[in-house]
Amino acid sequence: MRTSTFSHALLGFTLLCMTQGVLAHRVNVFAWTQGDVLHTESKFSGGTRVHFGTIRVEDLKTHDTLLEGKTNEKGEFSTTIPTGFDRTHGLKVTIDAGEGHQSTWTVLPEDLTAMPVVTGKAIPAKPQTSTLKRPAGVTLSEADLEAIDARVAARVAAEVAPIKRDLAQLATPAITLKDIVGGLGWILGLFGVGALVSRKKGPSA
Amino acid sequence: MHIAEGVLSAPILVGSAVGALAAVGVGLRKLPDEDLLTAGLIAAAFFVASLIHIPIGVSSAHLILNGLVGIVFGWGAYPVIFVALLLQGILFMFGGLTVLGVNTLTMGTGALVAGFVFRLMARTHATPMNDVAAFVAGFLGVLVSALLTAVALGASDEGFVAAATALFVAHLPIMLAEGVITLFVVRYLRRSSHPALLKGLRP
Repeated sequence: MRTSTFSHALLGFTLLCMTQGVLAHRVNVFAWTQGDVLHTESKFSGGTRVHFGTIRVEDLKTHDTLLEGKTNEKGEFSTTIPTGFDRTHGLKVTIDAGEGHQSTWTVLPEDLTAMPVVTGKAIPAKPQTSTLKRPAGVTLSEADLEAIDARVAARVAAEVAPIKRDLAQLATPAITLKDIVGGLGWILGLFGVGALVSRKKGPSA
Repeated sequence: MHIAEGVLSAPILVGSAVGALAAVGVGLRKLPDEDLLTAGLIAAAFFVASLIHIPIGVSSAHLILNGLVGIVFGWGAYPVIFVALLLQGILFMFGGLTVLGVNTLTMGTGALVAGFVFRLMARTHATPMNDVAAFVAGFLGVLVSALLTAVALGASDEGFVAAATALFVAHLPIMLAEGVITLFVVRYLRRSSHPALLKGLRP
């Protein structure tokens, strides 16, 4: 019996070792805004990109589908933030990678309403022109200040976009050795308790 | 091949949860008490097999090993797979709690069919037919699960034929790999000191 248990443990351990450096299988979608543009990136956990998966963008509250698109070979899909919906509702971005693989990402209303004005059509950015100080001897019209605002906003949005992307990706933690060992411990523990209980009850009928 | 949350309709989720509950119940009754610790080890192998991932073209798939679970446990595969899927859902976020029932049914039924076919084909004495039986069982476990997953997806808007085709293509290498792995594991179990694990080969 001892040899038998040892061999089973060896078999299990061999399978566990085979998992080193391999990729896991769960689809994730990340979305972030850059000015008026919504960027998305979809990949299986472990890094494989979702090629030509379907991205669906919905109103978070009404669940109306606002647009659909396909990811490219890098798993990316970018689009102008749709118009014709209430930005205070937020957005739900769904990746459908086929074969039952699906995941969603929520774009919060504050990411949409605090969006810097780049096109001039969107909601006004928070720092108003009245707060800017004009250097002595320089005359700037309101139009000039608005143009500066727009350029600064666009620049900031471009600088911040990679940080937003990294933050989005960090929101879905990768599978760690801790998860694997913890899961194995739970499984063996559960069946161990089952064996203990059945032994206390006596031999099965 | 885990179906994710939010893909299937409520009637399918509820129906399959009830079905899975019944199957797990039957499995627990048929699982001998003395096999519980072995069941834990096999569940652990099933649990980590999902991390062995093979990129296939534009998609990806992972090992399942449900054929092996079916060979060893028959109906007992349902509770073994249920526990492993539960922890995969909680710790790896594969599948999920609402789809636990449907995933248990698809994977468990694949295991059950694989075990049944293995028992039909395998012989108690050593013969090349046993290798064939093990390969076919490993292959079939994934194939049946893929078909059942396609049935579940077909009831949603993906369409059965499209889902079945995509799943079959994505999992063909997995079916072959699992056939070979199952063949070698069964060979190992036969030669080792505990062939009793292979219930199909019990006299």
